Amino acid sequence: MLPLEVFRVESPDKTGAEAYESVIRDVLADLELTTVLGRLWIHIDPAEPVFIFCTLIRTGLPPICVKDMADISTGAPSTKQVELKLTNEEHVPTLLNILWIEYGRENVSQPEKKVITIDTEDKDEVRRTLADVVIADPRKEIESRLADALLRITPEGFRVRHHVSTGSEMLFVASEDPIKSEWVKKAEDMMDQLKEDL
Amino acid sequence: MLEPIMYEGGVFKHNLVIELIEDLGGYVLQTNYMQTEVMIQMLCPHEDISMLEDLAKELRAKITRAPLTGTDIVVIAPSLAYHHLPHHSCDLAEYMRRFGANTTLIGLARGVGRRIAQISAKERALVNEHDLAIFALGNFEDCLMNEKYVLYKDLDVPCIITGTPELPEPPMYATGYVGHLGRIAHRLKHEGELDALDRLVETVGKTLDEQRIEISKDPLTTQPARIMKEIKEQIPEINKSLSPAPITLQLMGARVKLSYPQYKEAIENITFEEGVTLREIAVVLPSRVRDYILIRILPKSVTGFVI
Repeated sequence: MLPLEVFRVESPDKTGAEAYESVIRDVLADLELTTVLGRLWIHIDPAEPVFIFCTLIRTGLPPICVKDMADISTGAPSTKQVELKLTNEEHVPTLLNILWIEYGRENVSQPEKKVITIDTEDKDEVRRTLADVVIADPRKEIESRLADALLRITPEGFRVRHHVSTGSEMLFVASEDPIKSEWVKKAEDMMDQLKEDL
Repeated sequence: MLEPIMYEGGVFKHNLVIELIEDLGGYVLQTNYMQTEVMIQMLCPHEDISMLEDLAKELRAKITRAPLTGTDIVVIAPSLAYHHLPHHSCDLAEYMRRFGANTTLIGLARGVGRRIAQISAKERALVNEHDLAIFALGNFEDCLMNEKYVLYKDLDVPCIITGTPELPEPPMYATGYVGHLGRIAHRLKHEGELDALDRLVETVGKTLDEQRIEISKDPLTTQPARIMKEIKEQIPEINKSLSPAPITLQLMGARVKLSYPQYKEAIENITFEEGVTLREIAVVLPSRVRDYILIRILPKSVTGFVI
């Protein structure tokens, strides 16, 4: 799926739809979401009033674990330490925070720029568990940005909301009146059409 | 009649301009220094503008008629959320300032939506303190024509509405409407957007001119600018105010940025050289903006004289 290969904004009010498209483009650009969304279909009917937002999210990067950013070793058999040799420094502040919480500040030290050591009695266990600890999850961050974008795009007065969100798709219906089942049905139909030819 | 004029030029010898205006019987309303540049907003007697033009030519400065000078405009967004701020509403407010207006920007507490949109009595009173209100509304014609009028139908001041569609006539209860200025999430810098801002200034200027003509049918006892001059001379504390415009001129009075409980008496006791005090020719009220003072000048039909 290419970035924004489908970008449709529909409304009975053509001028309004064009202006809304510009607002959506600005919001997506501001939140750096243009490459995250694959297909997007928005339907707005102010007379009903309803706002429907359906999108397919492109699969992004997997979560980053400790093993992806450092080589973990236990060093010499006599030492009671686990040693992390950093291969990527991008998420070091987050890593340090996690280590401090888990093993205590007094047990974590950074003797060199690219080396972190953890003092522990059970170094093999620590080495094993540490490898799969998630340091950063770009997908989660994208989800929060996407939620932010949705709130910015949705007309502000439309505060009654219905949403279905999975990792790869998001369906959102908003109105200022109670949500009608026909709106949800329409949104589901739109989502089915978006998913065609995938 | 006094013409609202904006002078833009170098700081060098700009005091000659101020002296000339004072000699001609005009008023300097605001002077802004920007490093080596100066911008002066003033009221100049209509018949003497040519003298000012000659001086400006000599000093290589630019003189323009600024129809919004000496007016107090409020720009109203339906809320203070990201949907309406900062670009859209702030750009409207800033563009009005370039033409000499003093603008205030407010967001309503519950102005969003269609059926649920409302304006409170406090907000209405605050808006009524100004000369003109600009409502920065959204994209859809149905909302503009059929729902949003509840926000401005009970206001006493003229209301100009901005939105996306081009409407053949303003929505009901509105004085004017300007299209192509609906919900916009970027800085207003494209050609069409700047044109729309110019049209907005034109509409606002026209509406204010109509207001001026209406006021001149029963003229005010004195000019708001004269009250400003007297306050500056007789209440020195005004010079300690940190506000960029300690006295905001309006078509029918002024808002003075001094504490109402503390300075009401002093303001009312301001004496003019004709022998009258301000309390005889104006009403001094508490403003809805902080604890400021609002002055409303009485018309000739009430006081029986003009000074």
